[in-house]
Amino acid sequence: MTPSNWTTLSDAPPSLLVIGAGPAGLSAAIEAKRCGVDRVLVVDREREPGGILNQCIHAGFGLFHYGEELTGPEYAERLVNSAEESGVEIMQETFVATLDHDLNAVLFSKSQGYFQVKTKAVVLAMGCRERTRAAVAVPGTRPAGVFSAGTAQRLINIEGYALGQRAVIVGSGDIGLIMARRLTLEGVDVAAVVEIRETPSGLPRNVSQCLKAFSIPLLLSHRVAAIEGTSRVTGVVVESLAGGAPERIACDLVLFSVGLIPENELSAMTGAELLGGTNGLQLTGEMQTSVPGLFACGNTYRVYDLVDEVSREAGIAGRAAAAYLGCRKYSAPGGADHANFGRTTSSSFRTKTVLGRDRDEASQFSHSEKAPLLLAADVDESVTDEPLRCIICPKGCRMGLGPGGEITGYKCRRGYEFALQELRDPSAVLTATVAIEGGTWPRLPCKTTKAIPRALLRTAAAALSKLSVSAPVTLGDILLRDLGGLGVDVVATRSMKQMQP
Amino acid sequence: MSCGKRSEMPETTENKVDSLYDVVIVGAGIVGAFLAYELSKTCWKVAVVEKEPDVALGASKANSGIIHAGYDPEPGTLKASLNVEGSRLYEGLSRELSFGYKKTGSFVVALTEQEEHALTGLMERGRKNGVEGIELLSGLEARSLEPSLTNKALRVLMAKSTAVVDPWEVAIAALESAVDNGVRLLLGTCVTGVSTPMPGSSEAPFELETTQGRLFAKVVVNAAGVHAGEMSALLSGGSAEFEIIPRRGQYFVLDKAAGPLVKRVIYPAPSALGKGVLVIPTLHGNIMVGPDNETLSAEEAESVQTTAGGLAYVRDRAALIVPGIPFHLGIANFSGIRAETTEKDFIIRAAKSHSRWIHAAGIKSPGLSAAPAIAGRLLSLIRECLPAYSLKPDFRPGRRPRPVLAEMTSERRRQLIAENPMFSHIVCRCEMVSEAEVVDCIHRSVGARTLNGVKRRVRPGGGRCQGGFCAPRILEILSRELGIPETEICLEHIGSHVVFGKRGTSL
Repeated sequence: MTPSNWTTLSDAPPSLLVIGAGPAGLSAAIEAKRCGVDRVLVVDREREPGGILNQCIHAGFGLFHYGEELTGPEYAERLVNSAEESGVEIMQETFVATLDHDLNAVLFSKSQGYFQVKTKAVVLAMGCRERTRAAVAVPGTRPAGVFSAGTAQRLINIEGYALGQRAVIVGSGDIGLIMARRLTLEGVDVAAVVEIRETPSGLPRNVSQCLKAFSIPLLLSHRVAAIEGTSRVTGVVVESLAGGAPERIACDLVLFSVGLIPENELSAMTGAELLGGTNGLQLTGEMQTSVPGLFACGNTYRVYDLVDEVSREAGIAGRAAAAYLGCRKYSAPGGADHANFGRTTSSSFRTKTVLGRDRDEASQFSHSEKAPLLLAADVDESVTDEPLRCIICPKGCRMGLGPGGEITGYKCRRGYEFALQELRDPSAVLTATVAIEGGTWPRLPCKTTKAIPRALLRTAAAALSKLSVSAPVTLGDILLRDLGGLGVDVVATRSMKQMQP
Repeated sequence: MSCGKRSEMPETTENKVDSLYDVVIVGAGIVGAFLAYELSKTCWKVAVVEKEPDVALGASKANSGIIHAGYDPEPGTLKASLNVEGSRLYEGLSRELSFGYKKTGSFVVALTEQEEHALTGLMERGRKNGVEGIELLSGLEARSLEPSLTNKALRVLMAKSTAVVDPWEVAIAALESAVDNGVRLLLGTCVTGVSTPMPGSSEAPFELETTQGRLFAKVVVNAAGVHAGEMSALLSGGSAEFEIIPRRGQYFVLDKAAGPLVKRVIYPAPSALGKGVLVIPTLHGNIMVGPDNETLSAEEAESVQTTAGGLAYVRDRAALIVPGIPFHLGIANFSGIRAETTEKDFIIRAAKSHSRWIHAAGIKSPGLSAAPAIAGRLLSLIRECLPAYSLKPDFRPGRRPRPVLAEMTSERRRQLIAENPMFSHIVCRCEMVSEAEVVDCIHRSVGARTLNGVKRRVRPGGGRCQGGFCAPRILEILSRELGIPETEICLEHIGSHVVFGKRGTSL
């Protein structure tokens, strides 16, 4: 059944519809296409493909999938490039209004209008949404300056706004922890992260890298008893579950990082079996829902910790959908196809240079803050108090110092080297944004090509904030050479086109 | 007698207010809105002054949104007669003014023998108040209609005419039409002082000092909600004619996934404290649960925070009539303030010290239900003060209906998208709102200026993400359409800016 207005889109309807152009949808689409599915159409609500990765400008993605550490925008751009190379069609600013049990979809598209699509197979990859303040019923007023952590991340990293000067983060989910660091690098004073449970809910590496590294207080077993302020938030009242007097923390920004829940409106419309408790989907091993021809992957199925795992399982969904459509190239998960999945051209830095303006100012901040070199044996009590948490991979091994000053607890060579580096000269890759003129967004994400001393991160970020570049920019373009004389360059972590005037 | 044509351009934002009006209404809540609509049918020159940057931001914004049938108020009171009369007017007004109205019906649930007696009392009151469509059901009969109802229900009073509305939408609709018909709406304008003409003088106007300049009014209507007591004190040189006692009520709003819980508004048997904690199916398919009832001090008239204790009370009380409410599906909590007074009934009368100053105060429950009838009562009082009464020949009732994509047929959607492609750009995923609807609500005569203003008019931010996804897009559209930077857009009240300048510029 071909809808009458389908011709405005293309000559024939697609064989496979993928809903969502985040890492899950793109990974599934790429795999389906590689398995020989004739036409794969990915529809997505946002302006650009890549999903939430576009606002996750920090590093920590891709260690498993690409074998190297990438930032969110870099991971997204690789996936988008792979999708385009493999012939996947992507339609942005397109919203699926309904999807029924027979896989009839009704869509609104900014460019294509209102239309129907009927395909034999559909992959659901809508992602997830943040639980809000109401989900944890935090009482108080409803002033300006209260955001969910992901919304704040978008407003700061992509749209380039400042949201306040002193923040309290409610909940210790990964986005909250990452925003604690991000706000700190943006010059915001993060007064506390308040977690009602006894243990942080985010990954250990994020607690270590984002809070401990910046001495941000983590109040465990504490709850926010009230939010205060009429027009603008003026503070929060925090109380310990153990009792004692409530404490008021003054702030003008409150972020909520209290969990993620799968987007399931469309899943529910199809009548697919949902998972009790999480509101995700009940899937079989082949990423199939209970509805024939309907597959699902990514956070719309269940909320994942790692995008690498999303890509892997979404690939299975894509292959399963292809098999369902009768495509022969399908091979079982873990087969040869899978091993090389998605690993296309490496993002070796290109030679083209777009040096930013104001680079002198940006490159000449003081070195006086540079941490002195430490020998493992000289490390002071405050470091040995807390076990050293490896951040190289998400396992987050606990390491420490033995009685003789030797490093303990590591499980691989990279872990050992990280510990040595961490004890001698703590350092990290700086991820930040710079102003960009004439681009599709006002800020461009970037990173240092190598780790810099952790004690210099804030100063370096402040210096970078003064840098301005012009569109177009290609991923890997050098924006600034030799940041602060540290011997590292600053490179763009995404491409950005010039906006049409 | 005739009067001038209505102005082509509605004057809602002009700052210069130094002029003479026949009637100035203080307060753009539900009462001020319906009165403005009534007065826009006349040739009088009318202004509404409102201290907030949008209309209906006080008690009219945060209440149960129920058009009560009218069996509850004591027979013989203004509350009783105006509730029943207002409730009968609503359905017609919803068509005329194009606002949402859904007749859900309601249950009042008796759990004890004593409460059963109370239901019999309500039946009797209903009969005396002239309410139609009320009957008593057994617990079993009631549960067959509402399976989520507690099995402890002994008897239930069913009222067929109970309805739900979005109270702010009603106020916006009435004011929009009033402004289109020549009423001036002065937002962000707070009355700070009054010069009173000699009581004997039949002509000399009141002089109102406002934060935006002076206003002269032959008749002043005090519809200032929780601030009506302070307004009465401005008139009589410091001593208030009545005292407002702010009463706070807190609510839960649950996701639409909870929508099937109940079809009707479920009330407990009423007590001395009022109507109690209700379970309410909203106009949009959400479930609302509340309110509690907490008396505040006069200084706390705008203390609209929620409290852990208040929310826990609501949760516990609601469970008595509807056990198993899925509170984990909560998407928002809010509280509203009702303007109780030292008097039991509504205060709708000329001030004791001046006959051309009319109070519409203490409009507590069932104020929303009664509001259209209150406007009629106020009109009669104004006519006693202003002899020259005539109807505007070119009055146009109602307002242009709002396009609601989510509720349209496919045919209508195609047609609108062909005319305006912005209808196919969905900016709010939770409530399926298009960019065109947001743009439309900004450019109406009582247009949205704030994020919450857009939320109340077309719902982005009112769904399950509570603005998490759409807020950046709505900011962008407000900024573009109003021609001001995003950094000047507020969430709600004056000074509630949402974002600040790009890093390295301001802050």
